[in-house]
Amino acid sequence: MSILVTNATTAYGRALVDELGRTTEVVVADPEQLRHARTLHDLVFSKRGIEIVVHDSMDPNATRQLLLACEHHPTIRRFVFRSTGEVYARSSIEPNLLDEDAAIDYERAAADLTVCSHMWRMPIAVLRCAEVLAPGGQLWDYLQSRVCLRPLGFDPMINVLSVEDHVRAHVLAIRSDKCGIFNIPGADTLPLSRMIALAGRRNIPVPGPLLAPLYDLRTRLVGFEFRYDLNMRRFHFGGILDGTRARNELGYVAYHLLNLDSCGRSSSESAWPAVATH
Amino acid sequence: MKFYDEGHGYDLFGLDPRVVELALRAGMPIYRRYFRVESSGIEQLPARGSAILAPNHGGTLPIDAAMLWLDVTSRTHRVLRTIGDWFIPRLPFVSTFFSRTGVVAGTHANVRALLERGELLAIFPEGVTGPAKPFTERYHLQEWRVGHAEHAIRHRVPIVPVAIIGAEEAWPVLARLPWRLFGAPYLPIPFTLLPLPIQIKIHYGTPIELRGDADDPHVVDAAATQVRRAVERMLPS
Repeated sequence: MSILVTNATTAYGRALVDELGRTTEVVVADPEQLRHARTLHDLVFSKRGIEIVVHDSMDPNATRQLLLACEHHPTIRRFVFRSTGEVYARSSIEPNLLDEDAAIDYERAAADLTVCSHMWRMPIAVLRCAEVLAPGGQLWDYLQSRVCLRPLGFDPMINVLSVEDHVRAHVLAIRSDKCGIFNIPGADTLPLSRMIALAGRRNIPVPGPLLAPLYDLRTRLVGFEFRYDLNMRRFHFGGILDGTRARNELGYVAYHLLNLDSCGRSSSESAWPAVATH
Repeated sequence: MKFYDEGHGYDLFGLDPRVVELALRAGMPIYRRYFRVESSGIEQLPARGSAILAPNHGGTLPIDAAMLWLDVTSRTHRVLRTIGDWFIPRLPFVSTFFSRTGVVAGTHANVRALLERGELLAIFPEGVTGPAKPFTERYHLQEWRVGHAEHAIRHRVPIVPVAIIGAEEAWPVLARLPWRLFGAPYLPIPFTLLPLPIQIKIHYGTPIELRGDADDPHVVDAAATQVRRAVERMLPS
């Protein structure tokens, strides 16, 4: 049996490939191969014995092409899609605890909804993961700065996922025959101010309307990738993923607390270390 | 104090027991000496497991909710989870303080999650229509929403009708300006700068066990009416 993994460029993608590679043959796709229908088709059909595809891309067109190829493939029997909790709408009228039926922010959910629309055609599991605190993530980039600005008067609860739990959720979804959408929360749930403090950064509350231009200026001057406009709603209203369905159907429980205390300013490619709680 | 710690000293909704302790210390002198709160029937609240408290609501700002929170939290050692209106999370500072003391925004998913955790909830069925009513309408229950009854039926938890007397006179509304600051439905102008030191009395009624089909609107309406009548019987006519 082979597993096709379409994104191994991130810290959690590489960790997943390493874990799966211990017991199974893993085929890692080059992101360039997903951009064109021809190369994507060749990728899926050139390797024999691919049974499972683990896909991670926010590009709805590449995702659709891949799904169509998988549907016609003779041996692929399961499709696991790594989505994100950011597909959920965050506002004052939305609940703090977001289950899989929570309102969707359609602008961010194009790839996710593309996969969901194919669920009746083949066995698919969509994992809507909390943010992994690892390079490439918005929160990771936010916490790299010595001074973290946050909206004055707001201190929402934030949930983050460790690389270890992220990998475990995927392994469970690959082994399971359960289909559907599953929220994958992390073990750490804490206020934004507490997270900044544990990361050893300075926390300065600033009136909300000033944050977007300040971070925009910072991006232009220093080149960081954190964008306040993408995070504004969760920095006001929070929103924690409800992992009840993943617990009941996949057997997933987050138990790797991030060791935020030991994290200094880091530019390394590895994610922040985690500690198993039990 | 029972508390579902998510690993960093807070629960999923942001409750912080240290802030609860501080709020109790700061609030109890006001509760005892300023409003001289007297309550009866607190033994009607379950020692463990969920229940929904359904009180009347009034006054410029929710003094009634604050006194109810102090009464229940200090006497039962269970943090009362007050369900706030949808605009509360949009209020700077207030939203953070409220979430640290156990207030949760009123959505079905939040209420369901709290009931599944066995929490003690206070839902004000009048919502903002209670504080918005004119002084002459005090203790006349306004629009009585049905969400509390639906959740009580669905989760098989008792509803405790509660009457709070005194809060509606303590800080009457002089005017309501149509300014929707931070999403609030109006800006209240109180009759006095500070609330008047009027004694507040809280009566907890006999718990009501509701049964039936939670998806049947007629059943839910009838259950909500039953709760409303129980609250009305305890209020001054």
